[in-house]
Order: sequence, then C-alpha cells, then structure tokens
Amino acid sequence: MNVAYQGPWPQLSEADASLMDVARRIQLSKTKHEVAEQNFRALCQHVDREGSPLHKRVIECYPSGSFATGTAIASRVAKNQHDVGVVIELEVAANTNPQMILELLFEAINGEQGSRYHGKVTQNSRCVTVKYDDGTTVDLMPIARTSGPQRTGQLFHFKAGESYHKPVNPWGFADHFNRHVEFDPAFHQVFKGRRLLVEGEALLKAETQPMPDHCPIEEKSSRVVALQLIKRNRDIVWRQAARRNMRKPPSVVLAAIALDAGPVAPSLVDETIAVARAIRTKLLDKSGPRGTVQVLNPAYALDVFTDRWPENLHAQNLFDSDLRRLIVELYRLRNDDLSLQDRSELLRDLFGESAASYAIESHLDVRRHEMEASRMQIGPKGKVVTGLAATTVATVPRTTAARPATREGGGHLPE
Amino acid sequence: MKTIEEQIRAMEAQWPGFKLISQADDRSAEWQGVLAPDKREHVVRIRYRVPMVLENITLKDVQPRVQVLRPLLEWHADYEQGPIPHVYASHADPKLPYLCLFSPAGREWGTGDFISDTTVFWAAEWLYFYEGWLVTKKWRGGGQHVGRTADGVKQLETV
Repeated sequence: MNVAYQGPWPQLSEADASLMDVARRIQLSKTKHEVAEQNFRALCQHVDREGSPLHKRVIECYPSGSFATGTAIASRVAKNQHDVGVVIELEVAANTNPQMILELLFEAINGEQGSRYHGKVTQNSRCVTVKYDDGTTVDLMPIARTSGPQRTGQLFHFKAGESYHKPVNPWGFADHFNRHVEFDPAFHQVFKGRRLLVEGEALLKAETQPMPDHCPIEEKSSRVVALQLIKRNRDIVWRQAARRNMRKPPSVVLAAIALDAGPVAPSLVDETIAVARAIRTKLLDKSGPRGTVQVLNPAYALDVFTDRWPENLHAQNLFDSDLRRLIVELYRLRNDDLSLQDRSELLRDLFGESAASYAIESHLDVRRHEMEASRMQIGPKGKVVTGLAATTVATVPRTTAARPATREGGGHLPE
Repeated sequence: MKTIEEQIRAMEAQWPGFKLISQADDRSAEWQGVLAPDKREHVVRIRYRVPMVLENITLKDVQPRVQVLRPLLEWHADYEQGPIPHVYASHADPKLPYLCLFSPAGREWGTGDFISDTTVFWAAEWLYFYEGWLVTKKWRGGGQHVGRTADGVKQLETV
C-alpha cells in the first residue's frame, strides 16, 4: 500500500521546479564540502611541514573563487567530482621570480617518492594542481601579500615565454560578494520545500534532526543558484570538441557581473535569465586593452579579472551567443507546454545528461507523491496538470481520483 | 453495487470524450476515448461487466478492463520493470495488455465505485508514468512489486 507524503507542497512553476532540481544535482553536497575543506587544509600543512622547501613560509590558506562564494558546482556531475581553488599566502618577497615560487610549491607538495602526494601534482602557469584518487582536484595558487586593502597580494605567473606578477585580492572579492549578494527568505523556503518534496521521506527524517546552524548560501540566494546554472551551461558547452583548447569565461568574471544584475527575481527561471542578460549587456563593453570587455575586482580595482579571457572579440562574441541560446531555451522552458521528452532534451542540452535525468526523475517523483496524496490534478482528456496551473483547474466536476490506488500487475486477466 | 446504467451516466457526465461503443447485454458496456496525460494522445478502451450477485468471481476478475489501442504500448525488456511495467497479459491479443491500475487484494476498487471517478483517473496516471518510463527508462509511478516464477511469468504477490 502506498504511504502518502505529508508535505510541504511548495507552490512554484514547473520551469522553476526543473531548474531547482538541476541546481541541486550540480551543487556539492555538504559532505563534499567538508572533504574538500579537509583536503586543502591537509595540503597546506603538508607544504609547511618540516623538511619542505616552503617550511615556515605559509602564512594562511583559504578557499578562493567559486568555493568561497558558494557558487561551486561539480565538474563531473555523474562522478560527483569537483575542483577547489585555494589561495596559499607565502611569506616571500612580492617580486620573487614566479618560476621559482611555482617550482618550489610543486616540489613542496610532490615530495619524495612514496610520499602522500607524489605523482599527483601538476605545475600550471599560476597554480599547482593536486589530483586526488576520486578525480577531485585542488588548485593551490601561491601569492605574496602586499600592502594595500586587506589580504591583497601578487600572484606569480610563469609559463614558457611568459613571466610576470599580477595584483590580486581573491579574499577581498569573496568577502565583497558574500556581503553584497542578495538573499531571499522566500526563495530559501521554496528551494528547501522542493527538495523535501522530491525526496519524500526527508521531512520525516529531518524532523528528528536538529536544524543546521549554518544555511549554505546556495540554498538562500536565487542569484547564487542562477550563477551555478549559468556556469553549468558554460561547462556543458565547453565540452564540445571545437572548444577544447579555448579558455572558458572565468567564474569570477560571471560572479562580479552578477552582483550588478539588479534586484533578485522571485522566480529562478527569471533570475537566471536576468543574470544571463546582465552578462550579455556587460559583453557589449569593448573598452579593455584587447578591445574586449574589462571586469575588475570590485574589492581591489588593480585586480583585473579579465586579464586572460576573452582573448579576443571572437571569444567574447562566442560566449555572448551561448548566453543568447541559454536565454531562448529558458523562455521555452518557462512558456511552452513541453512534453516530458521535450523537457528532458532541453535540460540535457543546457545542463548535461546527469542533471537532466535527475530533474525528470524528480518531476515524476513529485507527481507520484501528489498521486498518492490524492493531490494530482487531472484535466480534460486526462491531462496531468502540473505546477502553478494545477491550483486553477476547475474545468470538470472532479479533478482528482476518488482515492489513490496501488499499481499492481502480473499474470493475466480472463477476457 | 452500481448498475451499468449508473456507470454509463457517470461516464457521460465526467468524461464526455469517452464514447459508449457497445453494450453486449444489459450488464456490459464498452467505452472508447482519448487520454493525453502528457502531450501524446492515447486511444483507450474500457470494458466492464457488472457481475451477478450470486456469481462467484474475484475482484481481480471483475475489474474494468483497460487497454491502450493506439499507439500500441512499447515493449522494452531492458527498461526498469520491463518489458511493460504493471500490466496483465491478454491471451486474446498479446499486443493489448490490460493496465494494472489498483490492488485487488487491497480492495482499492469495488463494484460500488464509479469507473469515471476511479478507473479513468488511474488510467491517465498510469499513462503519465508510462510516458516518464519511456523517457527515463525507470518506472517512477510506484506500485507493488511482482514476483516472477521460474519460467519468467509475472505473478501477483499476496498483499
């Protein structure tokens, strides 16, 4: 016998519900967050260990970029993999040779043969990457602190033919973002309600658990969730073979522009469209040194976020056309009465197979909970009415079955 | 127990799109209509015969027979609960299995119920989750699990 779900039953459109389901799938779980934090802290201690070439040179380590702003998403959703950016502040002169710093950091982490991270480390132009056995990566970016606003520094850039320092303040940006991004308590309630509804039994479990002290930012702010969706779409588009060697629009650029996207919209679809539009509007700017857009760190104007992307106007226009396509498809998701098949294909094209499958399965699970609780609304011709439209159905005398029933089956029936 | 006339009147009122196709006798009726719970239209046939009071017949056998005439239900042995989830086989026409819409052992439907208030709604719900099954390859519509005998034929479990 079916057990009816008791609620909550949040009121939201099917398009918003689908995007919330996609967002939950691409977000990092609390466990993953904790593991990532443990990983990078252990890594920094390893760099500072006795015998390391950087022993007693580590001032501080803290997450940067998406991880610090709550906008992190899984890099491979099906495998639940993610990449963490970490700043490692070193007590070295700001004008130290970049090649030397990066090589020292590489040696400090890689260690001797047989040591913890040996063979898992790669030196890049601005950071050193450690790849864990589960595919998760941590990018450690060394900076030297400089005088200026809190925690400003110089990063070290080195690759064949290029060696320079660049003023940065990733901590300042994360702090600025977290202080300025808008929260909407109503969004939090609906987002949480949707999760409980999809998971069905979670409410019963949650009732016995104490409320968490800290509500993650990605559950409070539709702007943060919209940014996650835009980044996920960017990552999916960049899986195309033609984009393989092209630089992605950096997450920090998108986050900085998103802060200027105006008041948050109550609907997640509308909010995602608004942020994508704000980015497109910014992309009209071609005042940078390469004749392309220029985005600065709002916490430290010397820190130019667009120093490497877009490489040229073509790269800028390409991303603009990606955003245009995203907006068009989001309008279709919001305005058209899509079949399950069409909805699945649209979500797959925008956000990838794993996230789309999860969203469609979540949609069906919610319908099942409605059916079992005698809340499924059936219109003329047996049309299953979903989302906000379900609250306005009154075209036939009865819109729900007299009672829920349990599917059975097997054997045969006599004619 | 509802008479066949009461069932016919209730169907006319609630589901005008379902047409009474035939009445083999004064206890039977056959309706045909279209259900489109998602987007695709399914032509559905419902047959029902009111049992006689002294007839020794189980609820499973007396239940309304619901079949999808067009498009034919797809068979996918590799999908969850395939080749088709929650159906009874029809010996007369294997391509037209009967939809399993409720638990007879749980007495979720009885001859005192209107088909228009129960069976048609449940058929629409069944078809909705069938459409979802085609998209996801997973049956998300719930229900009782059925056992399988050694020869692979599904059997009802005792509730």
